[in-house]
Amino acid sequence: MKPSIRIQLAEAAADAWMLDPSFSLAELADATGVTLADVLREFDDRTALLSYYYESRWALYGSLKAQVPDFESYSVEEKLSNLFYSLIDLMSDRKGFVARTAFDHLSASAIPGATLHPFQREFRGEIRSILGSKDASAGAKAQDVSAAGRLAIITPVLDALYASFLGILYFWIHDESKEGERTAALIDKWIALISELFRSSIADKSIDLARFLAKDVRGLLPDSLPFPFNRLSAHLPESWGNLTSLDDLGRRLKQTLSDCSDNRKGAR
Amino acid sequence: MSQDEFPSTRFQRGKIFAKTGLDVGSGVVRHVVRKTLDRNADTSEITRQTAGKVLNEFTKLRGTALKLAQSMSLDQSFLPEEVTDILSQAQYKVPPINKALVRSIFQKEFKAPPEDLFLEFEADAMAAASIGQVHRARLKDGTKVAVKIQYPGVRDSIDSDLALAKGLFKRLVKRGSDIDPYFEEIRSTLLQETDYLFEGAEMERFHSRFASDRVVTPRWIRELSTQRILTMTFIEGVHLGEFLSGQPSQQERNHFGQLLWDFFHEQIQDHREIHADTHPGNFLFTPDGKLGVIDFGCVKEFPEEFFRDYLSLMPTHLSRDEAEILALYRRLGVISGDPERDPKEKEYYLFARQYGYLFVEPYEQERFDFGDPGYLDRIKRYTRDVPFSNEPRGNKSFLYSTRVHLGLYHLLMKLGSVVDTRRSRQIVERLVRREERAHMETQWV
Repeated sequence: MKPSIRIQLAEAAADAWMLDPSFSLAELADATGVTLADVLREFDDRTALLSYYYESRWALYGSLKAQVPDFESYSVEEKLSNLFYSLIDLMSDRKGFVARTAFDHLSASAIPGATLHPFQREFRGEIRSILGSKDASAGAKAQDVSAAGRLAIITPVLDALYASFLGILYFWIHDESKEGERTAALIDKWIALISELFRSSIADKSIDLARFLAKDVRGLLPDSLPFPFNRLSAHLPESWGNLTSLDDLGRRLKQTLSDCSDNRKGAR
Repeated sequence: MSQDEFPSTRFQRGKIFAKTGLDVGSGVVRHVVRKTLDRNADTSEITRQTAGKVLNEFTKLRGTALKLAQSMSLDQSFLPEEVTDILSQAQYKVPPINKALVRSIFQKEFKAPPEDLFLEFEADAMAAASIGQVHRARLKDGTKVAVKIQYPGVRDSIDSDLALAKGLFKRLVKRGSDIDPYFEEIRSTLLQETDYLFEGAEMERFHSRFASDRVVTPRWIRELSTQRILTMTFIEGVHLGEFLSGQPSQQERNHFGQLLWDFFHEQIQDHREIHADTHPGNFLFTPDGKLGVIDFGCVKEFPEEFFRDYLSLMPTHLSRDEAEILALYRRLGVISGDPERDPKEKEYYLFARQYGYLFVEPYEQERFDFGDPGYLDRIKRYTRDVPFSNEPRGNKSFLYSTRVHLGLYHLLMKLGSVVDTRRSRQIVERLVRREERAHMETQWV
């Protein structure tokens, strides 16, 4: 079945669901000029078809992106903004449907270990692509994402960005301002902030600090000093000197903090 | 990796957007504390500590706060020059609109991206506007246009910003001052400024009134405009700063100064309204020697009675008619009590009268040199040394019109122009006679 027919079916299903959640697939097929067999070949059931509404936004996003003049000259911030605005715009025609079903289909994927909804998979992929792209905008010498910022294209960070998108989606659903102006302003300010974080050297400096604590501070400072690094460094394995990514740092910090907490409880 | 290898942040990238930061140093705080002291009171209205905190909040509000200060005429006396300079340069408080947001705004307003609506559309803004930015474009027929785009959510934020600012100003102005009328005026002005359809209609109106061989104003392109997007014909020209940096001759300075002076006075000939924003960014000096007037978001119409009284200030001050001056000041809200009985009112009356004499000096001579540094110093001294500077004085129409008038003077002083004031004096005197006649006729009816 042509991609455009699949999208057409998904959108018709969303409209039908709004009128009657137990709409007939046969009637839907008729209305869109395909057979029921065609529909069932592509989608297991009504739920799968409705879920595809969200996945289909990515195909449309791709078309929109292709129409943007000189998109490759956009900065990372502009590309991220374009992504968020486009996804919201692509859902705006069926805001009622999105309001009532989005979090049933999209939220579950934020739980660790759950099967990813294709929408979230596409989201991760697009973010990786944007953050990994070179900034071809005028005046930029090289990429405008810091070295560690690139390393930050890791699952926890991607999931945090996805969660932020869901937060913005929720805000937009409840936004009563004209043409969703407040949502537009929120996206602008949020993207500006996270773009700054990716551009900054905070991530670089975090890894530097962790390596230093693991290799150069271990055992040098007595526990009695009210100085956090001595306590922290005591729990850092020497292998922290081999940190290569924020993912590493994140996992090891979590373990270390957990160990510190256990030790305090033990001490009591 | 060095800092040089990274492109600048969004604020640093946009050269069109002025630095918006302001450190409230001890010098600024001392100034504010000194200016808010009521010299006749035993205690100060505001402590040094409070002044510092309040000023910090003030700078965050930027455009709103400055407009409020201007509406109460508190800015020039009350705030140090370095504060007002920075506040006036800083754009309202909206960040630059990135390319993706520009497209999103077009999608919402027109259900189409800019490239579908224009033959050409420059994605990078050419200039900042007070609550948005301006892009160059071409219509399908090739006409060069400017497209002003408003940052989303500005209109909705007006009331919350004003509520914050009101709390701020109550701590700065003299206790008991009624500041509600000023806030209402500013609220109405700010809402008006966020309505680009209103601005477009005003633009067309002014075009039919003023477009001539001396003044050029843009035409509104209605079909490509909404409340948040304003498309207008493009006017080639340079703003004041760029004009001055080109080291213009005295003849060129006089030429454009004369155009500005005449435009201001001709506005009021047949209508009780003025283009009420004399920000240098609203005027262009065109290559063919015309005055370009842009930005019609702030056009003010004045009540009949006020208009008559304000016009009368010129002849009464020129003739030194003290009785009539005092009566006018009372009607305009400059004086509230009896200067003969109240030393404070007397002090303010004497100050205002001397300031008034200074203000009408350009009308006393046939040609007046706004480049005279002595005149500039005296104007500055008066605005700096206003007594009881934490009390707004004068009704809101009076404060608005004097702000515009003073703004015109500042433009001309920066230009250093020598202007012929004869015609403008005749215009005002004729208007005063006409208004008085009309007033007398209504009294007899």
